[in-house]
This record gives sequence, structure tokens and C-alpha cells, in this order.
Amino acid sequence: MKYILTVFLIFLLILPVSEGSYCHQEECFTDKAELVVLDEQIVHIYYNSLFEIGENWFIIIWLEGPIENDLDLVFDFGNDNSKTLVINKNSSNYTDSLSFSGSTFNSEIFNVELNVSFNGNNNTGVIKSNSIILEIDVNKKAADDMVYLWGGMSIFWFAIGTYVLYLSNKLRDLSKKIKSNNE
Amino acid sequence: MKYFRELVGGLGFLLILGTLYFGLLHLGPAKFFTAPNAQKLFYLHVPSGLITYLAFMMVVGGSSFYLYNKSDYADNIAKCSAELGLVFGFMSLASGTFWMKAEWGGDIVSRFLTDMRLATTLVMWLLYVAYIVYRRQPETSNVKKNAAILGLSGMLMIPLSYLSSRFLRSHHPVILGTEDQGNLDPTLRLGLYMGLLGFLLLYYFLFKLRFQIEELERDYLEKRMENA
Repeated sequence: MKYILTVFLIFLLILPVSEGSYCHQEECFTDKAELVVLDEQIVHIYYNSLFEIGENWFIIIWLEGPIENDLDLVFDFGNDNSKTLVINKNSSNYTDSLSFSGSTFNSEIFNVELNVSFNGNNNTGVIKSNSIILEIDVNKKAADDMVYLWGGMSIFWFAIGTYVLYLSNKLRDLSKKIKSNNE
Repeated sequence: MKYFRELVGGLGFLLILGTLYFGLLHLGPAKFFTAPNAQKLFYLHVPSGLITYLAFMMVVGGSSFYLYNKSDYADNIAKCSAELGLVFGFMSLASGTFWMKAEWGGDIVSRFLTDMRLATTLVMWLLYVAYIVYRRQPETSNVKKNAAILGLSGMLMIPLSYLSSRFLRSHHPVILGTEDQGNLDPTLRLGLYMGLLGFLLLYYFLFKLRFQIEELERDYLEKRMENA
């Protein structure tokens, strides 16, 4: 059993670690929203409801149906954290993506609102706009190097403790020997 | 003072706890480091390394005196210091390995083989492991003499290890005696000095305790020889 565990641990240690590339497939996103734009066309928005600090956060959009005028899609977290995606006219079944940098946030926040809105003219020239709000949570991962910090710090206490224990045992044995010798 | 040794040891322990509080809780993660949290090992890694040099220098001093005048007192100093040098050296090497893995990454074994600071420090430590192993036999004058000669090898290994990061191929940072020492952040310096003083006092306590045990053991063996 020990042998199997050891082999398994060694296997885990030498297992090549590869950084996964960003997945832009629909199934890689946990949430989906829809925004009705211009002449009742629908923009499907795929996103993850969890924003991991330090990792780029992606949104994928898919426009169903053709549009006859340019369309601005604005994704706004507030505090100057906004991005705009321009969809050109005559686009049909259009797919695009944008990302927010992993440093957009620096602390954990729940229920952060992302306002998604559009501005554009429909084919009759009327200015139209619409917006939806996506709620996400911002998560701060535990630092990777903490395990090294605690591992290294444990070394000091382990070494001091073991040596003090060694000295204590040595002194006790010696005292016993001296006592029996005197008797 | 009756409990002077214990008082010094307790004070050293408190200073180390203070260093931990200061480094881990008071100061935030360090700037300009790949591993800003693991950098906190600095406050105990550097002091333990310096105490290792001190302990091994005491082995060299004790061994020299023993070879000069056959003083058992000097031999005791060398033997006890060697043991403590191993303990503090282990702390320094092991904590440095953790920090190195977090900050530099890469393969630990190849780092120890290619970085001269790491390689020479490990060799110095292993040399004193050999010293301690050699001393685990009945202490004849011949054993003491050979151990003292082995102990003197520190005359070569201590400066080689200490200076290797300055003159040989090494990634290990050099602070003492360089411009960086003056540029060291005052808070960083305070933590470093606190840790250094803490380890120094702890070293004093452990050394005195180990020295007392060694003397008791010698007295006991001498009495047994007399009785026999």
C-alpha cells in the first residue's frame, strides 16, 4: 500500500503541469443573458458569474440576425471600467468577444453589477437604446506562494523544537545515569 | 544571576515571535517580488544563515585552541557549536529552499548544483554533519585531534560560502557590504535586526545548555573511569 502511495505521489509530482489556454466555447461559460437591440435582434451574452482576480474575464457575444446600422455595445462596471464593442452594419450571425483584465478588481466583492447597454439607430432612423444588468461576484484566490511561506516558517519551529527535545532527553538520561552512579 | 540563561532564551523567543508578528501581520506583502508572501521568510532565513556562520566560526576557534593547547574546554566549545551550526544551518538551507522555489521556481536539485552560494553552503553544512558523525564514538585524544582538524576546514568553507555570491556564479542576493544595505527599507531592516537579535539570544541559550550537558557528561565519564 505504501509503495503504491509513494508511486502515486511521485507520479503527481512529476506530472507535467500545463497552463490551460482560455476557453471561448459556449460550454465554458456558466451564465447567459440576452439583450434585445435595434429591430428586435437578439445579442446573446455568455459570461462567467465569477470574476477571478488575476485572471482575464471574458465575455462572448453572438448577434442573431442581420443589422442594418452600426451598433455600440457598452459593458460598464462603473468607475471608468468600461469597454465598448462596435458591431458593424450588415453583420449577421456575428460573434465577438472582449475581456476585462484580471487587475480590474483587487478585492473580493459580491453582486457587482455590469451594465450592458447598446446605442444605435434602427433602419427607420430612430435612436434606440436598451440595457440589462449582469450580476457577478469577484473572488480573490489564495496566493500561490503562501504554501511556501508556511512550509518555510514551519522549518524553524520544527528544528528548534526537535533540538530542544533532543537536549531535554539527553539531560534526563544523563541525570538518571549520574543518580544511579552516585547510589 | 541564577536564571540568566533562561531569561536570555525567553527574551530571544519573544523577539522571534515579535519578528513573526512584524513580518507576517504588521507588514503587507512585499513589493517587487515574484512571491511577495514567501519573501517574509527573509526575516528568519537571513538571521539563521548568519548564526550558522557564527556557530561554525566558533567550531574553527575551538578547534584551533584545542590543537594549540589540548584544552578540553575549547574542544567542548567546538563540539557544541557544531551541533548548533547544523540546527541553524538546516533552518537556513530548508527555509531558503522554500523561498527559492517560490521566487525563482525551477528544479531545486539543479539550483543546488549550479548556484555556487547554495552549493558551497550545502557542502559546508555536510562537512559539519561529517564532523558530528565522526564525534559519535569514544572520545580519545586522537578522535578529538582529528575532529579538530576537520573542524578547521571551516576556515576555507565559511568564507567560500559567504563570498560565493559575490565572486562566483550565483543568483543569491548580496546585501551586507553593498549599496543595497543602505537602500534597505527601514521597516525591512527593523524586522531583520529583530530576528537576528532573537536568534542570537536563542543561540546563546541553546549553546549554554548544550555546553552544560557536555560538561556533565564528561564529569560522569571521568568518574566512571575512576570507579572502574
